[in-house]
Amino acid sequence: MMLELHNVSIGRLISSLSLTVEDGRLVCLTGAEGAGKTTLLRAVMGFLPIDEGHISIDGELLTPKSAPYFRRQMAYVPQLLTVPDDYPLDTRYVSLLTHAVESHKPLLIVDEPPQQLSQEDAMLVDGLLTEASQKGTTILAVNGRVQSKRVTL
Amino acid sequence: MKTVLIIILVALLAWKGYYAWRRGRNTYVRERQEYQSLWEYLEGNGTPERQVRRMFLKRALRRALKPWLMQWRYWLLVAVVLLLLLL
Repeated sequence: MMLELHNVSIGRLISSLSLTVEDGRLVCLTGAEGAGKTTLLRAVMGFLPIDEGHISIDGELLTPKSAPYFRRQMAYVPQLLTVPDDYPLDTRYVSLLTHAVESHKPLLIVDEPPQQLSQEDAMLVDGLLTEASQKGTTILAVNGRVQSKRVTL
Repeated sequence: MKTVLIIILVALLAWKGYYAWRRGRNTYVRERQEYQSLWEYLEGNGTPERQVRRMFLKRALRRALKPWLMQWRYWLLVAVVLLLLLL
C-alpha cells in the first residue's frame, strides 16, 4: 500500500510537505515537540482536514468520504489512549503496537508515546516496526531510532 | 377530574423522560470529549463510525440512566400503571 502526500499544508504547523511512503517501506517522522508529527498522522488518518495539497493511498484520494474505507486497511497506534476504567483494553504503548502489528493490516500509522520508553521497550518497539516492515507492511511512524528513511518536520 | 389526573401523569412522565434524555446526552457529550482518543483509536483501526457512536451512546445511557432509574423506578411504575388504569 503506497501513501503519498503532495504539498500538504495544515495550519501553521505543516507547510507544503510532500512525502511518499512506498509499498512495504518504513518512513520515520522526527522533529521537535510541537513540530506537527501527531497532527500529520491524524491528517493521514482522515481525522484532521488539510488546508492545501492532497493525500492519496494507492493512488486514491483521501477524502472525508473515502477515509473510513482506508481506515479499515490501517492499524493505528495513538500517542496516548485514555479509556474508561471498565473498558477491556490494555492501553500500554507496547501492547497497542503489538496488537497493531499482529492485525496484519497493510498500512501502519504509529505515533510516539508521550513519555520516553525504557531501553527494553524502545528495543521492542524498534524490533516490531522493523519486523513488520520486513514482512511488507507500509509504515509511517514517529520514531527517531529505527534505521529507515527519515523525514524531519 | 380524570382528565386533569391524566394530564398531570403525562406531564410527570414527559418531564422525567426529558430529564433522563438530557442527562444521557450530557454524559455522551462529556465522555466523547474525555475519551476522544479512544474514539479515534477505534475508528483508526477500522471500526465504523456508526458502531463507535452506538457504543458511546449505549455506555452514556447506561451510566446516566441506571442510577436515576434505580431511584425513580417505583414512582415511574406507579405513574405508568395509574395512567393505564385511567385510560
